[in-house]
Amino acid sequence: MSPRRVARCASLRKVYGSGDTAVAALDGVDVELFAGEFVALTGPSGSGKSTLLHLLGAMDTPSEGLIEVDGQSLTGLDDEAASRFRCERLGFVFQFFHLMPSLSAWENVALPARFAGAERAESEARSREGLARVGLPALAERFPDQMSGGQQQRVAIARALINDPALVLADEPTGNLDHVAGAEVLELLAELGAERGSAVLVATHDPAVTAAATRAIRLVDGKLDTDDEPAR
Amino acid sequence: MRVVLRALLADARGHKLQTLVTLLGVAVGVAVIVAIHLASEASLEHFRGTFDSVAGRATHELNGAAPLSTERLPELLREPGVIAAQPVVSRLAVAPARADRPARALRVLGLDPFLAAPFLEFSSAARAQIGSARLFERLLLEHDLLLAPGEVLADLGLPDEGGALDLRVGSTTRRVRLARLDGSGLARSDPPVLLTDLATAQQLAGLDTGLTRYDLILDPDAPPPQLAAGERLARPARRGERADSMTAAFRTNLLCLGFLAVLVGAFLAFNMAQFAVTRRRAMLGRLRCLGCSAKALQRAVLVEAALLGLAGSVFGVALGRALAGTLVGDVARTVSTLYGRVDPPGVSLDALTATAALLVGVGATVAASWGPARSAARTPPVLVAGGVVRDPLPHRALAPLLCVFAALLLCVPQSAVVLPSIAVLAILLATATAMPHLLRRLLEHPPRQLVAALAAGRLERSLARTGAAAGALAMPLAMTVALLVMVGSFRGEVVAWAEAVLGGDLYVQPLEQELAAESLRLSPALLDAMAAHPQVETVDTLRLIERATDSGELLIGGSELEAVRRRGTMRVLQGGPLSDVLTALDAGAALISEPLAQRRGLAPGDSLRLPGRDGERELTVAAVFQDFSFDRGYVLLAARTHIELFGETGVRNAAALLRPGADPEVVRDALMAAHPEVLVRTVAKLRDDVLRAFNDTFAITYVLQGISTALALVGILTALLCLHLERRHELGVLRALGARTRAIGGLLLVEAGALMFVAELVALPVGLGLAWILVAVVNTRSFGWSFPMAIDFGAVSGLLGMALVAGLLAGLVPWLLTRRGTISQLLETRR
Amino acid sequence: MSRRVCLSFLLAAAFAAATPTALAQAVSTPGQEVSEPAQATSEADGFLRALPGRELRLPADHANHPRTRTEWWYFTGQLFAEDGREFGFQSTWFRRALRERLPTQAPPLAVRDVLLYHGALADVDRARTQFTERVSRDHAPWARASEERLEVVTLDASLLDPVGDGARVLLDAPVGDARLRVAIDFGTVTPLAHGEEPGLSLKGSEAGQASWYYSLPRLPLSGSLQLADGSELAVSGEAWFDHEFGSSQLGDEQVGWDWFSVALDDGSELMLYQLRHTDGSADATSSATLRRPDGSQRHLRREDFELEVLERWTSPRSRARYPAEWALRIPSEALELRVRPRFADQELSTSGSTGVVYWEGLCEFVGERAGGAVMGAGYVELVGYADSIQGAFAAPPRAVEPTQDA
Repeated sequence: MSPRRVARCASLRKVYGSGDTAVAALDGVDVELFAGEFVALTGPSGSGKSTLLHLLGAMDTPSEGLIEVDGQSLTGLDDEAASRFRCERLGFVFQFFHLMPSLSAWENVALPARFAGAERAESEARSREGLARVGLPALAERFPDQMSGGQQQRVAIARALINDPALVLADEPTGNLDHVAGAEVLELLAELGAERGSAVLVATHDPAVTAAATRAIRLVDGKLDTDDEPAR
Repeated sequence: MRVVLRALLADARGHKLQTLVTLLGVAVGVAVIVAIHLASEASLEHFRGTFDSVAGRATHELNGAAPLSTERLPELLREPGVIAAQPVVSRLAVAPARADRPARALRVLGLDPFLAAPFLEFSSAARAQIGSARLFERLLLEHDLLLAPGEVLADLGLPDEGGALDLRVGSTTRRVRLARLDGSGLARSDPPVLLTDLATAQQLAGLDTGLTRYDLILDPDAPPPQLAAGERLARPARRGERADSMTAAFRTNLLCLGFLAVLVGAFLAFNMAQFAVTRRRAMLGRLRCLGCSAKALQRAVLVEAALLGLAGSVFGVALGRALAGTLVGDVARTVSTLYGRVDPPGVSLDALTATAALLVGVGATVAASWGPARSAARTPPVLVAGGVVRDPLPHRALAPLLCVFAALLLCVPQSAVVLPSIAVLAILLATATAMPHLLRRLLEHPPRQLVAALAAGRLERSLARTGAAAGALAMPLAMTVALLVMVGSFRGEVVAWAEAVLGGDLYVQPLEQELAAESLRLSPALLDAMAAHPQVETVDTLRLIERATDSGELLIGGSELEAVRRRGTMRVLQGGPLSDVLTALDAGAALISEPLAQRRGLAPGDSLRLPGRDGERELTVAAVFQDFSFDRGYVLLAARTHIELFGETGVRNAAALLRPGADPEVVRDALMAAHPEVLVRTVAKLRDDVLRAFNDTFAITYVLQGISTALALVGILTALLCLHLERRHELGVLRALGARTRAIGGLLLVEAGALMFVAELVALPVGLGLAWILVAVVNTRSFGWSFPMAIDFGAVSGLLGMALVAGLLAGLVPWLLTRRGTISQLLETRR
Repeated sequence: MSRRVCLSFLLAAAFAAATPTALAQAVSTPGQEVSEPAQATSEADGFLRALPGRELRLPADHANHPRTRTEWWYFTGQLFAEDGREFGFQSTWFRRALRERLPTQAPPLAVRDVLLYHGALADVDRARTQFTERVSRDHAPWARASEERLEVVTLDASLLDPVGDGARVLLDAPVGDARLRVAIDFGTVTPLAHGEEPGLSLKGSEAGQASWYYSLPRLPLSGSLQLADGSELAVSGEAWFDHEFGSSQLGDEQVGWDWFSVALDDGSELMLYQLRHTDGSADATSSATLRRPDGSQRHLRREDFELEVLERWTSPRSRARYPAEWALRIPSEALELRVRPRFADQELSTSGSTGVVYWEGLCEFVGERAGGAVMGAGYVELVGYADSIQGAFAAPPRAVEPTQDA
């Protein structure tokens, strides 16, 4: 059975500025992502990695081209629809964790569920479950400033997955972690992603990520350079 | 250090919006100080210095019971304390009605041109006119010539030169000629002044060689001149003087508000400056890493702070100056209503104010940066990955200490108003410094609701700044509440008094109310006419004189008290039932007003010495009564006692009690038509006027207060903006996680709302406490009136509601800024 | 002489302009320009003109002559204080009629004459001059001039002859910040009557363009000077008294004058004045009177004397360049004098307000007469070197201090 297609970009272009100062962060990118994949997105700085992530994450709109996630075209979505889409069908993991410092771990994890409209009790239950899944059930009541970087990132992963998203987008998730914690995080991402059938796209400089990935996409100057599928 | 400084300034340029917000905060703070100071100074100065055409630059008037002799002049000139003296003849006159206009009340003012110079002030246009038309010479030679401003001539229907007028002075009518003279300042008098030579005026007034008075300029450091029997030295009843007595209230208010402005302003500047430093902690740390010494770093930060502070302050001074310009128009309008036409004074920014404001701005900025700069310089660089950077909070003990200090000040039994005013300020400062701690307490237990929890978290993490903003808002809010309550209570009492005490139906007074001008009297003919009117049941008169006694300068009134006898219209505060008081009065006792009782410690049963014409007499104080007509010491006697003591000094005011069913307005019209030199008012109108005068006195307070509050709200806005700029990425994250834009807006609203709520929650009780201080301590000490505190909750909640709405609107501004950007822009702001 | 008339006009302007500027015009001839020929109008106005044939009779003529338009009583002199300090002083009472007679039914205080006073004190040791002025209408309690005796009062400046015989006069008046109270001994001095016809001082070619003018030099005086700080100095000295009255007008081409008076230690006395034109030349009516020690008196015309300016002094206030030293020569009398001010800054101005700025100062005269050394102290008056300051308002009538230490 062929895996489900989770995301598709066609002739994707994103230009910043105008006229002489126009810069094309993405210059005609065609990419497809499938469920269960763990994709490493690499490339030198400024090659457009973050831009691609943001576009896929419905956080920005393309200048040209088509973009579709989980069967939903992202062009022409209004704020309401985009927001809903983000919390229901997408998950985000950031380099700096970006947990709400004033909320406890489980409250942080529950956020996307709350935004999606789930009741408090239900969100709490799912959140604690998610925390348990990432191995941090005891830290549920703790606050971000009481946790290590690795722990925070794992909470962030739980947060990203709480709504069973089709696509998980991670921007340098290991960038702020030491080797050990980073490896843990990667393992989690890959495992959980496969478990839930989500596609995981990780923008990274870290060779460890590429090694752990099932596929590596390389961007250079806003264009697709290579897109290998490492042999299994 | 220069390198560091450049780095700092580059950073400032890089974060333009944040820098601008900092500058705005400082500017606003400084603007408050400048605006309020300039507006109040300009008003008071202008007011005191306002040239009054009748008294001019005279510091004193020499009056007597009878017309003064010209022989006094050389004697006066020989006195060492007399710098200048001029003889004056001043008489009310009437231009009788004609077909094209009603009768007009005028004043004939006779001066000696040779002696008048030090007292008068003519515009250069007036002087030119005097020169080219040889006006003074003509005045000396033509004994039927008087000068008047163009508008007066126009009103009288006369040409600029040579118009004839039948002028009635007293009971004689003479034909005179008028010529035009503008720019003498006389146009602003009420009634209008016809200027003429002394000899002419004497002849018109039937005075032979007598004079109304001498105007004097006395040397304040020299002993006062020797007076002959029956003579009295008084301050001229000019507007500036009257201002002195009535603006004790004004000045207290303005003083308090001025300091409040400084407090708010400095606070805002301080707040912003602190933020500017802590925001860049990371960068500063990195600079240290690169080898910059701690001291150099600290110095650079302080220099940058000084520069930013200077830039913000300069802008603030200009802003404040502009603001003062508009403020002053309001003041002038207030004052005009109260005291007669006054043009808005020009506001000029003097070097002293500008320098002081700049110093405050720069000082506050540097002071604010001191602490953070020092700590940033000391700590080793830290790669901030979510480390919480805490601004220092004001010391916890500060607020309680200030409160204790204030309490001590209040306990000092003193007659000055300065100490309680300082206590008020100390309490305000305590409120502001306590605010962050109060906020922290409140936020200790965050709510369960998501948005509220997020908002609470964000507020708690920048406690110093949000606390300071809330504190900066709570101060003027509390002060406004206090003033609202104080003025409201005062007004309530005055209204009640006016209702209770004004017992007549019609009130008659000479057109010009000059307390010291004894020549102003209601004529016996008028009083007879009043009494003879078929609708008038009886006439109550008031004789009023001013005397220097050992209880100070007192106003001594004498009245038949008909209204009181028939209608019970007097509020006795101490001394027993009204009937007993009236009996005592008829037996020769005296009633004293509350201010007098308060200031001299007099009570019923004490004796009061008054200088009668036959020497000093001791009178018993029968009672203390409530009276708001004068804030000076006021003694009321029975008419018979007054005449016995002082002779017939003439009736100053009169009230007519009408027969039942009579129409006051009809009677008023009849009286005024027959006697255009007096003002007749129905009691309803009088009550209105009393209230209006009261409101106007405090109107300016509200204006200034409103400015303070508005500017504090701007402070809230800047604080929220800063918060926002710092935490934009959080909003980006939330949006990434699926929060709607509306939800973000809600979050920001809740933040702003929480701040406002806390500020108002604190402002209310503090304001009420301050109101008590104002009512019970400040007011009593400055005037001597006491009244109960009456809280108009409607007005107070209205005020707080308005402030809340304004604060919420301020909270939405960051949201409006957010909406336009994309989420990725928000996320990227986190570096 | 005409100097005095000029001075009177300017003084009137100065004093009267202590009040509104235009008051100066009140004191000037109503409705007349200065340049109009005086004679006809004087007559039309009803005032008495100075014509030949009137003998000067003293002490009667010390009193007021209300029929003339203008009149002044002018003292200058030297004071020596008990503590050794030296002062120069000037006290002038001046009368200017607004009209010859009052209308019927005029009010009691109607103005007929304006009476003015001008007093200056020159402190030689401190090189400072102070100045006071007074103005009043002729209402008896305020200001009056008696027709019977020498008695002129302007507010708090009074000149009284208590006995009425012209022998002794009491002066009680402000001079600058101080108050001078002295008794002046008139009795023993023979008057100096100026002009070709003694007592009639001509100032123009037309009849009536003149005034009656006499001086009394060397008047001993003693009394007290009460200073601003309250201290009282006993003073004594000598004064020169000028009395002039007439109804004439000024010439237009005159820009000012220099006037000198001195009583020399050889017993001679000299009064000299020189009217200046715009081109700097001296007017033909400039003249002098010299009385020799033997009592004989001589009237000198312009060609009889030479006046040479040797030094000049610029006023820091008015920027006027005054002569500050002269060589005065009367060849026919073998008189040569160096005239030098005791100190430079004796300029009088009504500090920035209105009026005239001129220099009136105590000077020393040193030289020779008829082969013998002579010296004396006297006053010099220099008018017309500064522009008159028009405009803003006067300071209060108390002393105005126009000068600083030179």
